[in-house]
Order: sequence, then structure tokens, then C-alpha cells
Amino acid sequence: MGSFVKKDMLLMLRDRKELTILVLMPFILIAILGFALGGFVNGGTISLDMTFILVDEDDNASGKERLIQEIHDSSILPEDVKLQLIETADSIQPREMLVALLDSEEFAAVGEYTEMRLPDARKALEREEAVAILHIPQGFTYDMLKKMLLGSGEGAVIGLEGSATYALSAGILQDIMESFAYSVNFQTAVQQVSAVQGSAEGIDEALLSSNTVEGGVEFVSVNEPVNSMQYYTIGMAVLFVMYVATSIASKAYGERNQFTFDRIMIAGSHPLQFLSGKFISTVILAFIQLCLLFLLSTIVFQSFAGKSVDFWIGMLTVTAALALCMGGLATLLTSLNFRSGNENSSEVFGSLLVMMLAFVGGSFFPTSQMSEWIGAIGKWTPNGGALYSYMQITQGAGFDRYALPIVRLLIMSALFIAAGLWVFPRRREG
Amino acid sequence: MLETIELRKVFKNKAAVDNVNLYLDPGESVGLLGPNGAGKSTTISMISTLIRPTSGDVKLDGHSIIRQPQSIRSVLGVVPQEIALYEDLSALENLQFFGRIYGLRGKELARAVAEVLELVGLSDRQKDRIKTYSGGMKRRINIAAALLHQPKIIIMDEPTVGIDPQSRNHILDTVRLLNVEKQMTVLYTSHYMEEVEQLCDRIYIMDHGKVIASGRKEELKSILSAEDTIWLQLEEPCEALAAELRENHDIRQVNEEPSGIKLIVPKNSGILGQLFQAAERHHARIVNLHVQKPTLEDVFLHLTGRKLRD
Repeated sequence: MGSFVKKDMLLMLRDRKELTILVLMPFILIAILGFALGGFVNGGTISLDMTFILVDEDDNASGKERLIQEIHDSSILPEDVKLQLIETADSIQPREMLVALLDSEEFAAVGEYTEMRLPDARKALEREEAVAILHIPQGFTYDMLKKMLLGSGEGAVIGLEGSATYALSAGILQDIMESFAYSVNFQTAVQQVSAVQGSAEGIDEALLSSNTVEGGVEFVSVNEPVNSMQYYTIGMAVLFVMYVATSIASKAYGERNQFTFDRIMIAGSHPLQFLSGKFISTVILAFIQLCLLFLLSTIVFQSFAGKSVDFWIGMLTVTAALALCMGGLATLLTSLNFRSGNENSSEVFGSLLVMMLAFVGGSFFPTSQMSEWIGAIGKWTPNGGALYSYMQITQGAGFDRYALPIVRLLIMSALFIAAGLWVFPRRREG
Repeated sequence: MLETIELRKVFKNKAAVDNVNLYLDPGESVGLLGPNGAGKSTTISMISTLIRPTSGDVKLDGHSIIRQPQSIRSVLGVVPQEIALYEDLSALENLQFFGRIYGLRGKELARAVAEVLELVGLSDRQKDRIKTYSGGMKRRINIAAALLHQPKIIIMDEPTVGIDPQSRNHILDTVRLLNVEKQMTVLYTSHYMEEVEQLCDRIYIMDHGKVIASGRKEELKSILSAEDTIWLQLEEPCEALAAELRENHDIRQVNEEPSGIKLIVPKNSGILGQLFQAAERHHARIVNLHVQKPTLEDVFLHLTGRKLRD
């Protein structure tokens, strides 16, 4: 079997056209689509039309009253400082600022929200009725002001739970929220300095230029964000890995046409040995191709730079499952080519079906931009299933969140192999 | 050693091979002669177990190989008509790959590869990719790949098609060496009758899927022992002359060629006078005329009314 695999590897490595299609082209597309979509997101000129849910559990007034009472009761603070702090506390309204942002015309161009209770919101997220949940927890105002004005406590947290299907949209929302948290913290810092110095003049330049103003609001995402470069690295990888299967199947048919297959049969090999060789070669080549694309994208575009070991283990697990699925696909396409006596199966798959699968599976655009049924079908495609799994991993989800798509990939692989074995002609009839 | 019994293959209701019986004795060199489409390659494909016959059997040492294809594969080397090699691999890589498929490993494989490269005279080009080779060199590696496992029987299907005379001579020398010095049994198919005539002890002539004649060269030629072949070379082709000669009952066969007319006539027919008169009537100028000994080509022509290369 090793001889078959070595031979297939050598033939693939020496085929510049195939290598261009399998490695260079996806890499170029990652760059084009990644940068193009990045610009589109930053420009913010087009409506993303995303729906998200606001869960507001904060009692703004009672939180503020509670803090003012604590300042009053303080035996440490001098009276004039107490008055300044109470005045500042009164002037800062983070929750209102957030709601005002969400209700603004600018934000309306990005999306709209509905308010719900947390359990209902989570159910709606599961049903993929929204891209994310924005969660203002109980005690948000109190925790924020306490940290900000008294320097005690852990501060307040705005939570974001994103849907894996709508990872890219959730990522955009996350960017906006991070910007908001920074803005609130910065504004508070200015007010604090003003309170101490009596005016806003003389604020340290470093504070103005700093990107990390320490304050009472922290933005924490349940899911890590997915940026456009990450999305398209994965999208293009799962698209172009299918060309490994078509390429191997076409080359296999070439072996039949050039009679090297006959020579192999005359030498005493079983036809299924030949077919197994195609399966193993595809699995190895697909695995290498995917790893290479992820690695190149990380080195050149920093797509997955600084990710944890768990992340890479997850990525390798999905990559292995996808590679096995591609092995099965190559087996089936090879069998169909041999059975039909022409190359049409792999050619039609390569020229038409791959693009359809890429579309349905979300390689070009997140399926959230399309109708629900396309998204549902997409999850049952090899590329769509793998893309969903990779997205989950990129968002920091645990194995339980992407185990099912992996099982789907393995089931598809088994089905492809079984169909391939059934179709493959054991002996030529002519 | 190897025999086919009533071997038959039907494709879409048309018999490509029709009840072919042939045999090969150990150490023999046997020719399978016939024009393109005669059924030679299909016969070989059935013998080498690539195609299942519609009916009939192939036996190796008395045992059917139809049900036990593995039994012949270890003793059989097949040189296909096509260049069955990987163009993007070097000769060495091709031979190593096919050697491993034959079960050779390590030193045994290295020795076998070196031997066959030496035999076909391409040791110095072994690391070059096949796609950089000339047609003749590719054919030589095509032969080498069939010899790696030192088969007892070698089947060569038109191994000299489309190559230069130098490579052709090299291949013919190699076949002779395999048969004479290495005692390999050779089944050589070709539509070049001169190659078969040079290399083979016995010959089967096939046409339209059937064996139409078989025997030693002399036996086949004796079919024409009662006939002469007259070659009439003309300055220009003359269809009218050929047409008149066809009407002549003393002439058994008339075959037009670009530079003249070939006739098969009864021995000592005394027909030359009639030929000159006919040529004069049609203003055909005879440039040359000679009476030939019969060749296998003539035998084929006699049996089928067609030329081997038609």
C-alpha cells in the first residue's frame, strides 16, 4: 500500500497545475476575500441586517442608589471627595449609553434587537433566530460604578453569546461592543481626572493614546470573535480540500486510460488495493493541504496566531475527520469514473458540484445571509459540516459543541466508501 | 505450457475474438500476426486475465486461469501496446513502483531494476522523467517494466509501434535475447510481418477475430507454393489497367499500391506477355517488374484479400 501512496504523492507534487489549484489559489482567495470583507466591515456602509437579543437584568436606579449610600456611609472618604464622587456617579449612565447606542440610527444600519429574558433568549439562539445575545447582568451599574469610582470589586461585565452559524455577524457585534466598553471607560477616566484636578486639562497624553483604558466596564464574550481572515481561511480550506478528491479521482482515471492500472492488475494487485491506495493518498494529501493552509494563513495573515493548544488539537481533529471524508469522496468518484468509463463524474463534481457545495456550505458567505433551508442543508455537506466545526473551535467552544459535525463527517466518509466499493468494477468486462 | 481453448469475446453482439485456439510451448517464440482490429490485443487481454472471456478457457500447465487469475500473474510479463508508465516519474521510480507491486523489496528490487535497465540500455538515463524520453526509449522502459519479476512467459503487444529504426532494432534484439539466452517463452503480436518473420518460430494469423492460419513460417508460405507474386512497378498509377487485370481469370489476386500493382498468379502461368499487352493498351508505362518469393504479407493477402496494414 505504501508504494501506491508514495507514487500518488510524487505524482501530485510534480503536477504544478494541481498544486496551484490546491494551495496557491485558496491562499490568494483567503487574502482577497479576507481583506475585502475586513474593509466592508470597517466601512459599515452596508446593512448587515442582523438580529440579536438584548437581555437586560440590570436595575440601574437601585444600583446607583446603593453605591451613593455606600459613599455616604464611608468613614474613610473626606466630605468634599464624597460630594465629587456622588456627582460623578450621577453623571455616568453606562446602561443608558449602551441602550442609546443600540437605538441609534447608525446602529440600525447594522442590525436590530429585541429584548427577552435570558432562558428565552438562549432558546431563540439555539433556534438560530438571532446572531447573538447581548447580556447586561444584574448589578451591572453598581459593579461598574464601584470599580470605577471606589476602585473596588471586579467591575461589570457585558456578555455576548454568539451563534456558531452566525459567527461572523456575532464577531461584528463584538467589535462594536468592545469599542463601546473602551469609550465608556475612557469617558469615565476623563471625568475622574477632572474631578480630582477640577478640570479636564492636563490629562496625561498617554491616557488619550492608550487603547487599554482601565475602567469599570469590561466586555466579555462567551464566544471568541471570528474575524474575516479566519472565516475565509476556513471557508477556502474546506472548499479547496474537495479538489484533492476530484484531482485524485481524475488521476486515477488517467491511470486507467494510460494502462498503468492494467499493468498494476497484471502484476497481481487486487483492484480494491488500488482503490484503497486512492483513499489513503487523498486522506494524507487533504490533511497536509488543510494544515498547510491554516499554517500559511497564520504566518502571513496572523489568522490563528496566539491560539491555545486546545484550539490546535480541535483544529487537527476536525481536519482529520474532513480528510477522511475527502478520502471517501475520492473513493466514490474514482469508482464512478471507472464504472462509467469516462472522467465525467470527477469533472462534473469538480466544476459544478464543488461550487454548489461551497455556496451551500458557507465558504463564500455565512449561511446566515441566506435562507434557513440552505443553512440546514449546508450542515450536511462535508465542507459545511467542517466549516461549522472549525467555527465552533475558533470561537473557543469545547469538543461537545463540534462532536456532532465530526460524527457527520465520519458517517459521510463511511457512506462514500461503501458506495465506492459497491460501484467499483472488480474486473474489466472489456 | 499455455493454451487457449475456443476463446471468445463478444462486445455488443460483435465477436472481437471468435473461438481462438492457440498454444505456446516452453521456450518458443510465437507470433500473432494480423491487421489492426483483428482481435490480437483482446486475445492478449484475456490471456493476461485483464478481460474475462465470454466463453472458452485459458490454461496454464493444464489449469484454468479464468477462475484462478493469480496463478498466471507471477509467471507472466505483459508489454502493452500503450506506454503504460507514469510520465511524471523517472524510469527508476516507475520500475521501483512496479517492482514493489510484483512483491520485490530491498536488494532484490534494486538488482532487478538495475538488470532490466541494463538490458534495455537505459541505465544512464534512469533518473530522467519518462516524459523527457523519446518514443523509442519509452517503449524500452515499457518492456523493462514487464521483465522485473523475471517472468517465464512474455507477451508483447505491438512493442515497436511508432518508433525510430534504431530503437526498433534494439527492441528486436532484446526480444531475441530474452527468447534465446534467457529461455523466455515469447508471444509477439504485430502487424509488421517482417518482425514476426524475423523473431518467431511459429505464427498465428488472425483476421476478424479468428485464427485464419497457423504454423511454422515455411508451412505458411507453402500455402503459396503453387503461386507466384508478380510486382509490376508503374510510372503512374493506372486504375484501368488494374480493372482489366481483375477480369483476367488467370490472375488470382490483384492488389493496387501507390507505385504499382501486386499480382498473385499460378506458378509458371506465362502471363507476362498478357501483362505487357494490357499495359500498352492503357498507356501505362512499366518501370520495373519482378517475380517475388511469397512473404507472410502475401499469405495474408491471399487468405483475406487485404493487406496487413489496411
